[in-house]
Amino acid sequence: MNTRRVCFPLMGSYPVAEKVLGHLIGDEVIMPPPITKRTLEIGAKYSPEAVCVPFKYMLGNFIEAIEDGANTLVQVGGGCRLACYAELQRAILRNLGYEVDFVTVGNGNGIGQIIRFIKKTYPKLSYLHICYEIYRAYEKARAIDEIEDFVRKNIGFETNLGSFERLHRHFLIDLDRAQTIRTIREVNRDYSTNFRLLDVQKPEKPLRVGFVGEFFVVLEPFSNFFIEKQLALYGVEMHRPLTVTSTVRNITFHDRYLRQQLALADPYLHHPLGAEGTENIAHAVQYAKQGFDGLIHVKPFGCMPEINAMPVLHRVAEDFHFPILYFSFDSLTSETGIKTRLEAFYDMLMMRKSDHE
Amino acid sequence: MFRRASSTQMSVKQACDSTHPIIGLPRALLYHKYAPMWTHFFRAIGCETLVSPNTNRQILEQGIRNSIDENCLAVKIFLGHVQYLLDKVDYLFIPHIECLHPLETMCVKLWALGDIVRNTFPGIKVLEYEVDVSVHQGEVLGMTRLGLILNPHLPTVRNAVNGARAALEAHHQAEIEQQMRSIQCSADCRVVLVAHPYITQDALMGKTVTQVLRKLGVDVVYAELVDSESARDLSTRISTECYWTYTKELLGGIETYRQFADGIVFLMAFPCGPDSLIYTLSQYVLRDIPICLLNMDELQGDAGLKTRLESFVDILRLNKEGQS
Repeated sequence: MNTRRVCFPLMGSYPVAEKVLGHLIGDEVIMPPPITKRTLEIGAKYSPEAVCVPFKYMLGNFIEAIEDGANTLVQVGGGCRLACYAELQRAILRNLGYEVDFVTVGNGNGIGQIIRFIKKTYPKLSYLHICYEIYRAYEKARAIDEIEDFVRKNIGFETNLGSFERLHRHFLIDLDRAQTIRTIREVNRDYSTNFRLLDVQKPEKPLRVGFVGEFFVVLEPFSNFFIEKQLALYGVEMHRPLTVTSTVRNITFHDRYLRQQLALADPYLHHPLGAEGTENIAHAVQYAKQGFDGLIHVKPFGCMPEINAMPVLHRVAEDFHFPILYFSFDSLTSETGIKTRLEAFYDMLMMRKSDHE
Repeated sequence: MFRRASSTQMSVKQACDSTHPIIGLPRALLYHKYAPMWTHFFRAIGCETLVSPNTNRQILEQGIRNSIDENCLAVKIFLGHVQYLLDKVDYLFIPHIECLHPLETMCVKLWALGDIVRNTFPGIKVLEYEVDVSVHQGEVLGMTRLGLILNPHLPTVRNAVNGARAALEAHHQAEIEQQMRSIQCSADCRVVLVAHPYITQDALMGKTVTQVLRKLGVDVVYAELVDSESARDLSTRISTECYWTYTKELLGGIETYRQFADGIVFLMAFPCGPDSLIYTLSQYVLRDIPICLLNMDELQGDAGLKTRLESFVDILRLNKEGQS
């Protein structure tokens, strides 16, 4: 049998965690080259025009990885349109003449389903081994989420420019090398101390801005033109509730979590909005109640759950006098427009703050 | 999933005891699928209803004004109808239909209609019934609950629900039979029109397309008119992973009718989420039949539409001549 060279679509810093799963189901892992303009151009060229932009990024990733020699593509399933990505991408790639295997993980809810699916596709693996590897990937994702949460809240106040980013790079390299669960946790612990040792000058009440939106666009910084980092660098404490860890938790305890979120979003919501829509409303209401200075909401153009969420967010913004900035990303979004709006938003928040004081 | 009687529904109860409230049905989205059932239901439990008129430019403009600009055209039109009914009725009827069959779902737009309307028009009173079979809340249970709020007499409500469902079934069967009969007659050119009922039956969207096609002498077959059960089975021939019930029915409709047709016209409200993926996928799967994909948005001029349909029909006719 041929060697299975596995490839995943890229998302944020998570390739480090994805690689663990890749070694589970393949002989070799070929990560796609980092996302560039070219990735999006290739992706957009072969995608239907009205599809949401994560589809285009992922298709671009796959084509670039196939050029590098990948032959087994892993696509995740999930809710909304994501569940049908794999089928269409397979058809598009076959039409382009690429002979590849497609593995779709996780259509339907819950981790149990993923484990059963891997067992069915690769019967040689033992259940224990699959569970261990998934747990290892989860631990890596958790380390990334915990460290990056601290980075987001503090990078804007560093005294040595670039110190956070340098340390973050080292962190990812060390995390990639860590093999056992113990070493992964050690890396997590070491770096959270190291990050706390970096020099920061944080005012007593910094600007606090929440960052919510659609899963992919929130988590992949290239697709949102790094607005999270840009805004943080102006001197803002960024809060982002959506991470891979939180999502894994949510799909595992789906029903209970949804009830909780609906209760938090009361009285704005009676029913779930689909995908991350419900929790985004819940977080927006909580941030507004906690006295945050503003909120940024990002989504791909045409994203159904997030468009459902927007009229509700409008109402929240009106009721709490809470500034919300909306961004919609597509393959043709220009960076200048985004920068201008972000700067204006920041200026507005600063003015509001000085008015209040 | 969420079984709390909303506060509006409680206040309805009080209102119903004293007066006869008028219930507004927006002629958009699910109305086109469920009209016989809903009108029968409300008549049987003794409620007065008001249905908004056919979509016109004014309703569309109102909808655009009240909507997020990225909403699909169908939702924009829906909001226009809501605005039309707003000051004419006491309650608006917007059911929350989340899941009709296990492992399938509705478009999330349909889940959220009630919340969108409540947040876009504050103070509005919405009546709803909930269908989500994944938490064992079926159509009968949901409608009975709503019925009991409006009319506390259980036998009447039960009869109304059963009668309404039977009325919908009979109406649907009659339409399918009529279409089957028309297929038996020979036509010089016949196309399958693949679009959701809320598009084909909307005066601004689907009706313009069918008019143009009929004027060109083309016989139009609707993919939506199929038996749901068998259609959803057939749909796996085109897509195994599609899990939107209504889109699956359309795919089954294509499989049922394409043997009788010369071409397929896909009609999509821009930017429809499910259809943008599934229609493109169908284009890759259905290799042996000419396909025309039309995207409708609120800026649509009739001229562009006409040209594209005319040239498509010309191709179909040339194809046929070539074969014979």
